Amino acid sequence: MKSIMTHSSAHSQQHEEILLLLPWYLNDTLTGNERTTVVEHLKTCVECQRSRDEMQAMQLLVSSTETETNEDYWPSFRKLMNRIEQQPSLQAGQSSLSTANPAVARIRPYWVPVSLAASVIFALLLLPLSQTDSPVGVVPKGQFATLTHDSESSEGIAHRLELQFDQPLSAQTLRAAFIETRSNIVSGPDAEGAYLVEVVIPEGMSDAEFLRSLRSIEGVRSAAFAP
Amino acid sequence: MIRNKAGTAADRGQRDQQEVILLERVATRDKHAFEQLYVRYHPQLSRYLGRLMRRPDMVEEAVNDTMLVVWEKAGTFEGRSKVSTWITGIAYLKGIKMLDKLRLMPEQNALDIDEQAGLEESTNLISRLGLEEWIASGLDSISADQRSVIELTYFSGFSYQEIAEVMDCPVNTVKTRMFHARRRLQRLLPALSDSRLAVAADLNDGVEVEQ
Repeated sequence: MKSIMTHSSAHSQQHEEILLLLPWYLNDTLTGNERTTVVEHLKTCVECQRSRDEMQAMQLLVSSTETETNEDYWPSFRKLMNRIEQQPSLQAGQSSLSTANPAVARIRPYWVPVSLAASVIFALLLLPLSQTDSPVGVVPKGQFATLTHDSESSEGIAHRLELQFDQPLSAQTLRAAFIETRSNIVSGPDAEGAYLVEVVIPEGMSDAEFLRSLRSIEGVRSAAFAP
Repeated sequence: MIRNKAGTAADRGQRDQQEVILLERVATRDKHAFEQLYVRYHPQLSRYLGRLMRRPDMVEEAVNDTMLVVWEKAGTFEGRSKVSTWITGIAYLKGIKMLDKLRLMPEQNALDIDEQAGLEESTNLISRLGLEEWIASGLDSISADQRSVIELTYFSGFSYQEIAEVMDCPVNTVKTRMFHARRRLQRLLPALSDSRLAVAADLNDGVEVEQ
């Protein structure tokens, strides 16, 4: 009799523990042992099966109240950078491209022996070109809307290029590609869809080679150094 | 098993390695790295803080307050937790602090839904308010800490240990907050049980469910 009661008590305690763990069983973050215990328990416990179903339902219901989030991070990011730039203490003694820390220097991206801009555009072309993504800030030719102005670089002299693409791209799409490659959109698109971008030509590559490599990329309609 | 938005453990590990590198660059005031980190975290922090605070007008400020701390303190990150845990922990503190300042902690809010309301009453309420508003009212009625646990579990895919780090509390507190949040929502939203089968059918339509 005592043995039955002990067994029952242990089972009840395990049942309570499983009930507490179910949410993390559902999000697949339990350890192997915990997960095995839950799976075994679920095979025989109707109450826990019901709780699991209720939690799935609750998750679906709560996700139906997705809070509205602004898809375009850029305006918020600019606000934050303005805050940072207005507080010298937040930038003191540091360069945005500092390599003073050897550990950091080691992890910085290499400038591979293809042109930076070519890699930028390759990255860009790998992105899904969303036709529904309407170009932003279209202004008449020659009157660029400044999008970013972070142009400092210790890697070499920054060059400004005017780039046009066969398909219209949104500034956001282009910017997302540029972030990964440490280039900048200076302005654009203008009325003809041209962007003014700032890139650093890798050492050992002539300006002409650089432009040729850019122009040879499918999707790039024209590339020229800005006057 | 529900596949959460955070992906598999391997995905999360790879993502964390990339973020440690980004954070090291941010520590040297690398604005490009900071922008990459911002792009990654803007959507999830907006959603998390939106759910935690239930104040859409304050979300942008809270996100930027969080990321400002990341910019300032990147050099102090010691790698004892994941980058996502560290950043979310900052966001949690910012969100709670802002709510506290405004005396908007949900515990002080009046309940919008009668906890004793029966199924019929709830059904009428859903018809009147619409499902989304009805659920939103339910979420308003649990504490910010409970909403935080729900959000981080169901939508960010955090383990209970990671949530304990984010919220700086014992793991048992995380488990009991989740337990009480579930129980309270079930009481507040009794039609949930009734609609369970229909919703579960929808769920099984879109995600893999382990039997």
